[in-house]
Amino acid sequence: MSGVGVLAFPLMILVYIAAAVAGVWLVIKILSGLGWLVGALFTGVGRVIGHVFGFARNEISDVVRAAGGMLTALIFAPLVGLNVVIGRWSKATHYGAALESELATAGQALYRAVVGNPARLLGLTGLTEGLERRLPEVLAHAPGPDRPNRRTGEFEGYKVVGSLPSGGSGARLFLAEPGSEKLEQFRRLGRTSPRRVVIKSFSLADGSTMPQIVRESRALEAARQLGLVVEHELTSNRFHYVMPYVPGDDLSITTRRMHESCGADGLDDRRTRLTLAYAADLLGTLRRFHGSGLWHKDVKPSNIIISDGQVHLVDLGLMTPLQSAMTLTTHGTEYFRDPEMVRLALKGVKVHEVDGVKFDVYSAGAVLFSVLENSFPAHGSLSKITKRCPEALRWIVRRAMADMNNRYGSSAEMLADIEAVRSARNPFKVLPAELPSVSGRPHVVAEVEADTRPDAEPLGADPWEDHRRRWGWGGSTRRQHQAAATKVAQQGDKAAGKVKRPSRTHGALRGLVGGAAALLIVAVFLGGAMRHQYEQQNREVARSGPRFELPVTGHETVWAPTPSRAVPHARGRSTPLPLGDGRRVLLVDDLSSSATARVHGEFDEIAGLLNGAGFAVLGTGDSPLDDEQEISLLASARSRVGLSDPFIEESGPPLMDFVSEQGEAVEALLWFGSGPDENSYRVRLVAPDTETRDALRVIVSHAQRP
Amino acid sequence: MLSDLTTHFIGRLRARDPAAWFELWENFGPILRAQLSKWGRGRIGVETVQDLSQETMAALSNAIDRHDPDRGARFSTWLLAIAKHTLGGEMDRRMALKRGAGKKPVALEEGWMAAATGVSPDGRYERMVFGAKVEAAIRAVEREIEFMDFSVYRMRVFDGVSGKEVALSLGVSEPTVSRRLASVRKRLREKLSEVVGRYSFTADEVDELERNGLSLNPSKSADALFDEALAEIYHEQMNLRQEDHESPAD
Repeated sequence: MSGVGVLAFPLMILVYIAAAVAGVWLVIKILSGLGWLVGALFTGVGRVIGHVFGFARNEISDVVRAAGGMLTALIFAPLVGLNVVIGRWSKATHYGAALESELATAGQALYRAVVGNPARLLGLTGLTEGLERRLPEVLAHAPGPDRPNRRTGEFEGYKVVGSLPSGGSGARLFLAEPGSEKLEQFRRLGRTSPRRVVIKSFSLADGSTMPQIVRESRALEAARQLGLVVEHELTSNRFHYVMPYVPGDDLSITTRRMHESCGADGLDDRRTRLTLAYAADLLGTLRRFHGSGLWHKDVKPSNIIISDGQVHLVDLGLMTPLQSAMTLTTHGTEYFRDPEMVRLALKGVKVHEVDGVKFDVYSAGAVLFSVLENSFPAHGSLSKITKRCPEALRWIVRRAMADMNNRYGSSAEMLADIEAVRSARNPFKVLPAELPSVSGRPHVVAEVEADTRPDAEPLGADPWEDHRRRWGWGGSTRRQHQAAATKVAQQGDKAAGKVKRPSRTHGALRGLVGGAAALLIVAVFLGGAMRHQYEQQNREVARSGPRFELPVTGHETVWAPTPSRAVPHARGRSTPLPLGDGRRVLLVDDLSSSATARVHGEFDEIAGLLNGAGFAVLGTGDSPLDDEQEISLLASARSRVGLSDPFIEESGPPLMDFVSEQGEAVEALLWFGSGPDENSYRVRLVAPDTETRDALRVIVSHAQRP
Repeated sequence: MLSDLTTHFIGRLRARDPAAWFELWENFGPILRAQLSKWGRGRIGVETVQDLSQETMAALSNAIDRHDPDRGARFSTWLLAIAKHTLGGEMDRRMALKRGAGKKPVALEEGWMAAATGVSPDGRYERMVFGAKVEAAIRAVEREIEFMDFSVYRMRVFDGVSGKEVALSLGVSEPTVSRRLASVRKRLREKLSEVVGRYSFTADEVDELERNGLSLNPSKSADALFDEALAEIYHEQMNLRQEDHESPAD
């Protein structure tokens, strides 16, 4: 008992001490909490007082400013009137501009005093946001007058039907329709004959400056040869040039819409495919520019128009010959312009001393970033891609925006990487190491076609098997990539909730299944008993469309093989070709007589395959039409492109129009033309219907020879 | 007392070396712009700020002589003081142009400078300036080394991909990934020391590296912490800038 008493005493002491410590701790906490509350209260009150004082200060400042503006305007007003009365127009215009400016200043100050400041005081900034931000933005981007003014006069041969927002070039943009004489003139000269054009007009009387005119005019001839400019003219009071009108939304609007449909995580599979297609289109265009010795210099989303699913690079305002002897300027658009260009411009280097191609490549990377992120690369090459994006595409963007020495050397190099991702069945399974620029292995553009064949391996198969077979990978590298592909595939499956654990019997089982399938196919072919089922399946494959969704371009140059670009071909595989179902395809044969027998042979083979697949082939002499009808159709198709090159982008829309207008009489068109040498040729495929287009692409690809 | 690096840099600025001005604007221009936009509280439009940025760099050079960094101010405060001074002058110039030469300059709302008077840089601004210094060092390393080397570091440290996956993705071995990581980390340390030294006027600013976990002395344990801290600052910097772009007028 005494032992317990001995122990109880120190225990009691400890309890008291603990209680005292806890009590002190509690008091401190309460006091500190109270202190924080009082502090917060004072801070809050201080902020409110500061806010109110700020409001008062702003009110006084704005009221004084408004009064000052009106007072100055009152002085200018009689000066304007007086100069109008005595006919001094230049002075009147000068004072008028100053009067306008003062009134605007006074108006803005008055608005802030009456609406803006009180709204901010009450925390209602959201209410005035539309007035303060969106309204001025919309007003600033409103189109100009619908007619050229009297001083500059009309544009001969064109009927002006409207105007477009001017942008920052100092020019006025008019929407016009060429008259019949003008169209005839274009046809005679072999130029593009657009139905609608945009006329960009510079006039000193309208406020344009000589440097603007000089800048715009320096690359026009090259642009005309590219089909970007129809004609240009310099008169004593005006300089203008005419471009084909491309209706459609710009890429920034398209990007916003795509992200609105997909949610905050980023683009879904379909839109990622679409982005890849846009990127490929843009880089193809840039390749043409650079090949013609031109540097666009202002590649950005608002200068990219999406029309009929195709990308059109517009605004030639800063376009510069790559070999220009002029001094490099900093013109361009922030975030889409390489900072290195600004640095070099500040050093005063000449255009031909820098690699303008790489600056366009940087901009293309920045554009791609903006589409993926729905934002702009605020940190240049260090910008973070946070939204859903294939790893290989992330790599491409970073490489395009890397330092000059590390960047892609050309748009073609970047395009090859894009095509490698685009042609994969699942772009998310492509590894950076597989890109042509990393692996050092070239990517053949026509492989896209091979992948779209209906007998292509089903989704879910090892995505790298084709590449390995194609390039003959082996050894440790091969094993490494197999492991990588398997890992990524497993990750993808895991994400999709369908993990399959590998088993030892898996290989044997697959062998058995493969053997059984082979026996089945042999039985089908030998017996013919399943002929009907095969055709049915084939029809379904053709109708199900491509393995991936291409943009609905409607027209494309599908094939331009040369001996050096010959593609591996799966000849000998039991390829189930899509069925034609009697659809009418018009073949336009523009092959040169000097083309080799091989080229002519392949044309014949394609025609034969089309016949065999059940298409009604027009234009080859075997058609169901009589000669006169057939000649009339061919002439009609040819007249749509006039003397222009049917394979350039601008020829696509008129040919699409032609096919669309024919209805069931012509459902697709295949235009064959010679390539750069006698061993190559080009095919332009025009088909408004996706299913028909995909079926034709498969057949054309099938006829390829290695 | 300014370090030699800083003195040399200020000397280049005063000598109107365009490269030095470009460097300054490239690294800190976006932060200044965001800060000034915020201070304008809707009075100064985004387009106006962007338009100003084209000319501000040149105009800054006229203001630098009037500001003496030896007075003990922080680099960040000094920078903002110059920018405010310059933009005020730029506004006066534009107003003069507007009234005198018959030209029509971009509209410049005048009230924002009054709103900015007396406002001092907050902790967020200081954080962004430090982040910008770190970003400048990363950018310098990215420019100087092989793309593949930097990509390895970027994927492993900034993107948080495991070493094994980086190796698989880029087609290199894991030991190669480790070697490249170490090599890039070494360069980053050197560059951080150089860049932060150049853009710091006070000892407190130089110490910011260590305070933020960016130890410049290599060791196995310090390396992991270094990578972690660098990634955190990198992401924070990206997010801060993004927030500023999303709400430029607050």
